[in-house]
Amino acid sequence: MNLATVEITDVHKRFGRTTALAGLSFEAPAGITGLLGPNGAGKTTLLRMAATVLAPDAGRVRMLGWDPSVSGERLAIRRRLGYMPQEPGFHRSFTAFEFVDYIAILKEMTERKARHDEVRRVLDLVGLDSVKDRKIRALSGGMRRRVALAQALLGDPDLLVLDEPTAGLDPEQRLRFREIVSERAADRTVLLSTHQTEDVAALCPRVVVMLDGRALFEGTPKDLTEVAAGRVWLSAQRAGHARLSWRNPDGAHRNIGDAPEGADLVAPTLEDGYLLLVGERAFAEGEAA
Amino acid sequence: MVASLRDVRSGARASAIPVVPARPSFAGISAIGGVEARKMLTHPVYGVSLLFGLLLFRGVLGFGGTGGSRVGLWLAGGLLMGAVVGTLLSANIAALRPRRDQMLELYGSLPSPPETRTAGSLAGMVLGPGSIAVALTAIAWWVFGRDPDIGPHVDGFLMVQFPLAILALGTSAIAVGRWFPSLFGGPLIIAAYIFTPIGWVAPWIMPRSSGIAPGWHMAYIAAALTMWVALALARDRRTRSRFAIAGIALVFGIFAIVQQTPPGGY
Repeated sequence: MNLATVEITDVHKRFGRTTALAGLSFEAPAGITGLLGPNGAGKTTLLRMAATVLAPDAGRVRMLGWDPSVSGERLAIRRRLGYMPQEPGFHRSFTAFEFVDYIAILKEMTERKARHDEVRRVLDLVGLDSVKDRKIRALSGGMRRRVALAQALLGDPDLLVLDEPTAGLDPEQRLRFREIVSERAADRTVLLSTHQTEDVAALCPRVVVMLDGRALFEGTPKDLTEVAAGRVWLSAQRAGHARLSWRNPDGAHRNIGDAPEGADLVAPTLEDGYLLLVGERAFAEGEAA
Repeated sequence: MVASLRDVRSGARASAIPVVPARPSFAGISAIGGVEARKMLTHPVYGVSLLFGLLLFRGVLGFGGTGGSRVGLWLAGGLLMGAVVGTLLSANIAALRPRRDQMLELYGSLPSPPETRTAGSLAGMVLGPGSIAVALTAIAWWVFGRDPDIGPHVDGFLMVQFPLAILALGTSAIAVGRWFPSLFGGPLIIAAYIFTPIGWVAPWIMPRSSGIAPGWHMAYIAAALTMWVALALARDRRTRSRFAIAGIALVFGIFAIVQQTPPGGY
């Protein structure tokens, strides 16, 4: 049995009349798996299931070899889980230290000295040591996200579930985040949802692209980049038949789609592959409708 | 409309956070209790309530007398009155905090069961405002006992009711906060005691000289405490046993209220 694995098999989830997941299946081995997808693709619903705070309507979920629908196994998962929600709440009247300490107590770290050492360690890790005694209401948005990351790192969990962890971080903080997460990913499982394709390219050996509650693509970032091979070109004017086209700072137009004969092809990026994949599906669905 | 209400209900059910089978640990409850005690005592509403109690009791005593014993009465009585309001409001705010601060999702992913936080809030109320209530009661006992008018009525039976009443009200504030997640919950409890006859029908603090049956009165306070604790914990996990304990405590409490009342009233 592979303990460091997330298995999602034909999972369905509805909220009233809204379908969030529609038969989603994929596997995440140890290491970092990046989830990409437009808003409403079902990434957050999936991550909430991975964090055991949401149960699927149908299908099978297994985290670290355990089934979260079985209450005893759910507890086993939670004991090995670090979760950073998309919109983490904070007790604003708490200091950063008090807040992370409070979460540490609820993570069953009841021995005071060891717990305080661990809280100091994770706050230091995310670069908040100098502001640990400042009230959360006085921290900037980026600092608050780092507090949320710090609590997720408590106890060095086997499974890290991070929902848009780099949103609101400045470039330096994002680099620090990549450093922290990549250091921990060697023998652990990290599920990471993001809109930043650069983060996926820099961090994730594996990427899943989601759309409309399904996995549209599973593979390596290189595979996703390859989706756009031969389909990205530059032109002086916007190409009419391009799926997507935008003007570069140098004035040339970067086009994605079916390149015309003799087009000035350029090497695609991960973002090109992602945009083409998601854009093509959306285009096809629009035509079918 | 029925369909959309059904959607809301099924959506709420679909979003419910599954709980874990673990029992809350004593170590976890006491650690959370320590944090909650500090937060309740340092919350501005607690300090403001103490000041409010002093002001109000100054009005009750009248502005005339400024003798030493009057000042002592004012301080002891005012602080006790403020502690009642402060405990109620700060405990209610502590119970509201997880929902207000949108913490339920993160808490739901943690291994400790939700009862750890509720029991931690209750423990914090006992450790923080409860300890202050005991200290203020001890001071008030000494001050009240020396007053020629009040002194004859002061005894252990009367004074033990102060901290117990404060704990019972604080517990009710936590239970109300868990079931009625609104900042109006605490003030509504206060309003209920001021503007309804509940305070006369079921008084918290009565001297022996009123004719009250002491044993039944203590039984009533114990029943109220039990009922509110069971209701607060029932919000975390709606088990039959918790509702049954709350129900039995309610029935017993009503019986004790009837029994404690002297023939012909107070």
